[in-house]
Amino acid sequence: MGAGDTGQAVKMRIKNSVLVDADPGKVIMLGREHPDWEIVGGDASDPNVLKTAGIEEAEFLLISTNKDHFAQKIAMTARELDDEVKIISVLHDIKNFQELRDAGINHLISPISETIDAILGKLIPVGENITEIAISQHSAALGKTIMEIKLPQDTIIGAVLRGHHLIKPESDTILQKGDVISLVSLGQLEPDIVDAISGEFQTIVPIDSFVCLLISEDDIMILDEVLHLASCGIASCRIIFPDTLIRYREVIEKKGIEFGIKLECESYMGNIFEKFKKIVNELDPSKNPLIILPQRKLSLLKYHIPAKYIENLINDTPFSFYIPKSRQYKKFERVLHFITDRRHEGLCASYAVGMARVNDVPIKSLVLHNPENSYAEEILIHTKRIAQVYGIEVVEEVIEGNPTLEFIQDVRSTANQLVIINWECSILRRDIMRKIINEADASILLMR
Amino acid sequence: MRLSPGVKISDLSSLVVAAILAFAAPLICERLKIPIVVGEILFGLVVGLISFAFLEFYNISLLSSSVSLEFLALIGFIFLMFLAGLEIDFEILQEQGIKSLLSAIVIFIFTLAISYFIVSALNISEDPFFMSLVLSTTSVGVVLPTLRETGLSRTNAGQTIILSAIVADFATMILLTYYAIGMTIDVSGPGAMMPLVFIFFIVSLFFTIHLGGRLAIWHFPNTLVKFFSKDDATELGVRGSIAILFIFVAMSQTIGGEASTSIAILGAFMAGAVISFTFTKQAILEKKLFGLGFGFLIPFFFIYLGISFDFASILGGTDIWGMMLIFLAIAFIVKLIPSVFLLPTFKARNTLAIGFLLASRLSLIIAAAEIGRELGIIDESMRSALILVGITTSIVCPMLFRRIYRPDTGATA
Repeated sequence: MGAGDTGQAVKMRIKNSVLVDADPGKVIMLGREHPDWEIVGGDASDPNVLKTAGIEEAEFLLISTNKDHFAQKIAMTARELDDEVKIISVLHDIKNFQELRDAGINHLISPISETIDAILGKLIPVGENITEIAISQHSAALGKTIMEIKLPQDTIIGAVLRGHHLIKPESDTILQKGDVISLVSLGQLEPDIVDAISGEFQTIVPIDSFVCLLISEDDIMILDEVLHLASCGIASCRIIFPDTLIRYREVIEKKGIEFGIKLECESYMGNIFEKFKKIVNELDPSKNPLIILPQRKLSLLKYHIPAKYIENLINDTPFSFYIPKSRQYKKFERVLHFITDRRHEGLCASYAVGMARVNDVPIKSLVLHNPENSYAEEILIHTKRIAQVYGIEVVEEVIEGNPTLEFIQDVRSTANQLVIINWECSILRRDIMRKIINEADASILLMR
Repeated sequence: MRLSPGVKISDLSSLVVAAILAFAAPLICERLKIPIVVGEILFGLVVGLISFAFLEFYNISLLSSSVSLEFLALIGFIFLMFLAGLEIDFEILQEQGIKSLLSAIVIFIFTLAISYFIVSALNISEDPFFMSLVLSTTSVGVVLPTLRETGLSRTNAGQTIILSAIVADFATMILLTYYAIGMTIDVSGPGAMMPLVFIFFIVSLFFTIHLGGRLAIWHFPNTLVKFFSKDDATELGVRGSIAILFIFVAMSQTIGGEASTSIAILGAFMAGAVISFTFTKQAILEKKLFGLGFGFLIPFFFIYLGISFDFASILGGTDIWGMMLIFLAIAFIVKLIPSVFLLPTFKARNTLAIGFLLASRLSLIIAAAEIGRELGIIDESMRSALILVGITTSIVCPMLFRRIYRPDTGATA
């Protein structure tokens, strides 16, 4: 609701969304600029306008109007039409918080307080932190009283939001599914604790930096594929190329702008191998970097960098790797994702959805069914939930026991696909992973 | 269908008794809260005792010596060792890394050394090394279910315990075989290298099958899927596994020669291990093989153990109970003392608990006793005492572990 800057930015990212705006001029203008966008003109507090926009089928309703009372009216109308839809709204004045909550808005975002938080977060990295955690059905805190939850030192539960009501937490308050608790802590909370309390998979370490090494002119062709990948995460991308390719600098920088990614271009002189080693040695593992190798077949790379070095790099470093299929980038036919019960599967899932979204292709998920550990299946549910928001189809195959054979069948059956593997998963043995990297006709994202 | 002339109805009567006991055991054990395996041996003992009493006092033979039951029990025993190999989780080895593996090996060597020292000092056996091997065993079969039931199998403590148990299992198995082959040949003659040749052969066979399997996974996934699928009516996976099992058993026996039982069980163990190592965690196939093993063959082995228990040696004046108590004491000491190596990682209380759990023995101590009897190192009464040690530890150790172990209370919610 509201086709301003926020609404448009959201529309760009979520393809199967509908924009609603009361300003007919804006609707026409946007219609001309983006003929493929679905835009409904009219007052969003009118039930008919909301119905036309498809409120009854919608999962989410985002209200980004410039006045809080408009948001309140729209939310009330939407609630009458659909009790289930999740409503998220921008909050301009903090005084209106409760009124908007009472109107049925599930989540309020205050740009002012978010900005202040962000600034304070930069200025005072260690200090009082407030973390909001929603209690899911898998939460370790579900059904427990506040007193029973063992929290780290200097951490307390400040408030519990149940439905539309704020509850003052007492020692005997029992936490229920759907409650949102505000944890106040000195210093940052450990990701494991947030994981355990939420029961969700929000604490994935995002990939912080991409390092892409280009060796020859042909490698320029992989840029689109690389930048598509970079656009799935909140990453900055360092492109390193020999000075013989300096004439492509402008092309590369333009591509960065096109994809909206901060690109850092760096040219070098001399030995590729020495440069590559230096880059790798300087990478900060805590930032979870991803290295993009320019050649799919590692055997081809050996003309520039010793194969043994690459093998050791993949085996022994904590970095993730991306190995593009070919230099001529074509859109993938699908994203193939192998989900096991290892940690960080959440990050793999995020990239699976991201790459499926930018390529507009379905995801095939092969999932390990482990009766003792439902993590893999929970990741699948999580993946499906996000994929649904973007209108991405997820084809799933849950396999009792080891899904390696089915996975190899899938790897070999489709030529042009992206295969996502978690290097830490021991169920898909390393010899098979190496075979996939070296022989499969696919781009490989090897996550850690 | 006609039975072959060798099989008589009287022969089948003991099979019927064993089959009924095998069926009733889980139902009764659940009520008595004892491990099923222990229950099977106990019921076998009761039947054996009744049969023995009738024979002794009324001179009536209730159960004829049954060739079929003996044969099934032997296959059950081989199958038990096969499943023990299949249960080895090589993922744990990979996860825990070389350091944990080395510490597990050190613990085992220390166990063996203490065991050798006590056995020699007390002069229990003419062959102290063999006896100390027998007393150094651990039962992965008891350890694993206990850890699963207590929810510890995926924790650090659980993984350390499992790894120690696996190393103890593997090492005793190899050493027993090596020793048994050495015993049956003339070490000063041309066969002196035989044990080494045998180990080399079995390891080569292991890696040949493994490499073949790994290549097949990559090149023929469509065919292999059938082996591990739920709905394959031909049960290719089970047939393939049985074929691997008997290839290992037969080839081992061909090369290993006279020391047949130990060779057979090592072969079976390696067959199970190679399947587990090559086709990591194939839950459906494992389920089918466990169904065949624990639903049919293995209960016959344990019941047969009970039925064939040597009651005469108790009446004959041998002090089985005294011997059993000594063995039991050694069994606890040799596992509790080396567990001090775990003290830097675990609290004293938990270290003690882990020591107790590792002291549980069942299949392997019984296997070792069988081998010893075959080689003439262990007599009937010693074998009976060792079986009793197996039964006692497999009941007492998990109970002690549950009582003593306290999980670390972390800061997580």
